[in-house]
Amino acid sequence: MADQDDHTEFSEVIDILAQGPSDVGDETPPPSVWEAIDAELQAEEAKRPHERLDHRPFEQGREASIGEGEDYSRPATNEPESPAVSLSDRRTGRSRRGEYTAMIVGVAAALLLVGVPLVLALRSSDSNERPEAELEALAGFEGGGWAGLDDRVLTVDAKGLAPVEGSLYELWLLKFEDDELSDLVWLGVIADNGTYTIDPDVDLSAFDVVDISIEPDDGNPDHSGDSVLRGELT
Amino acid sequence: MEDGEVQGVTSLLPSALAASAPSSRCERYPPSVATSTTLERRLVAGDRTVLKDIFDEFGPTVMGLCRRLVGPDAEDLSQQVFLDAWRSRERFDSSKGSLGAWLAGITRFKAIDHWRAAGRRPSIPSADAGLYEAVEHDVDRVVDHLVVTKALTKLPAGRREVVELGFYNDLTHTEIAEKLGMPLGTVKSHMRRGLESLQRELEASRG
Repeated sequence: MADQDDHTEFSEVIDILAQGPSDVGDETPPPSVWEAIDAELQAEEAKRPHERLDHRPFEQGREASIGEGEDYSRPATNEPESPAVSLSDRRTGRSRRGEYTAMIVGVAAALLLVGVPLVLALRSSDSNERPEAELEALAGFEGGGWAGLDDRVLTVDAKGLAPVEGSLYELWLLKFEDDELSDLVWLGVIADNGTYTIDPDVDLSAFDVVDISIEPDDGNPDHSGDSVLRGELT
Repeated sequence: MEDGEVQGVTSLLPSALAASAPSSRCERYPPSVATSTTLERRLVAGDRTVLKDIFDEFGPTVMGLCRRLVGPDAEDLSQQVFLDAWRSRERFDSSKGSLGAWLAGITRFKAIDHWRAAGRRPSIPSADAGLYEAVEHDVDRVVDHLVVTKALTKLPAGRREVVELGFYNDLTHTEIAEKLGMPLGTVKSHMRRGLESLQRELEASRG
């Protein structure tokens, strides 16, 4: 370029431009490239729930944790990233089994559960009555409640959810395997009662523990670990 | 692409949340820098479905670049680039440069790693270590060249024309001003802003 002395601060770019356009051309990737990428990410997503079990605060076992008011050692807040993170990292809509995760940044409660119609086997219970749960208070909380499941609609009625400045109460379904928490799904925000439609992808025979937690309104979508009410649907 | 529907929340929502409940995919993501694209926003927001769209948009360029850089291992390297892009999506910063420049940067480092690993194989005599250093230099040269070329095509029309005429046609500012019927001052401004943008993209591709 004839006037290039005017632009010595861009000398590197200028030297590159002086070579003319790059002759590296596009090449259409074969389908196998995307297939391999997709397969690897799906494999990663599928194995995560089992890698990330945290035994706190459920180390006393599921039986003890429901309704007996045991004292839980709560996980420390600001826990550094570790492979075993308890209820955190779960705001992923379809517990990572779905085709995609969508996260809203900065808003504590706006998870989208996207439905892909599946044939779902409901809990094969010997009783034809609808599943219900008595919600019992945990860890010094005062309150209680009830939840009932009609087909895929969960109705919840809770008492004692006193408003706390800067916090929200949120509703979850928990999945336990061998008395250990293995996964959870977020259903929404709850003030005292409401009805929630469960995403068709959620296996209700596995996710059968209703949980209400108190969440700081800090934009972090993960479960705080501070459950206040919990009950098993039976 | 399917649209999502809010299914989980039908009950009492604080009004602020109800107002923000999105009705379509586009509205899910928070507003960000005006210049960032939808793909960039979706990537930062963690939308797992964006990767296919990014692959569709940038796959051919990444593949062509990988072919030039590592020859027969291009398919493998391309795969690694997109996987890495997804896994390190939080490191993408749209204020530093475009998604394309960022992907070129990932490609750059992956290609260099590829050659370094090749250099460490015991069957390569140590005397050839210099060969692989030369190859690394070549990787940088090829990637830099492509990044600047692509960035040039993305400049706004006025700046692009001025830079092309100045560098590909070797015209002076005055000659460009005459040719385009533009004031000299405008030509100089376009040239400067154009070169600044190219420099930024180049740096963004260097990590």
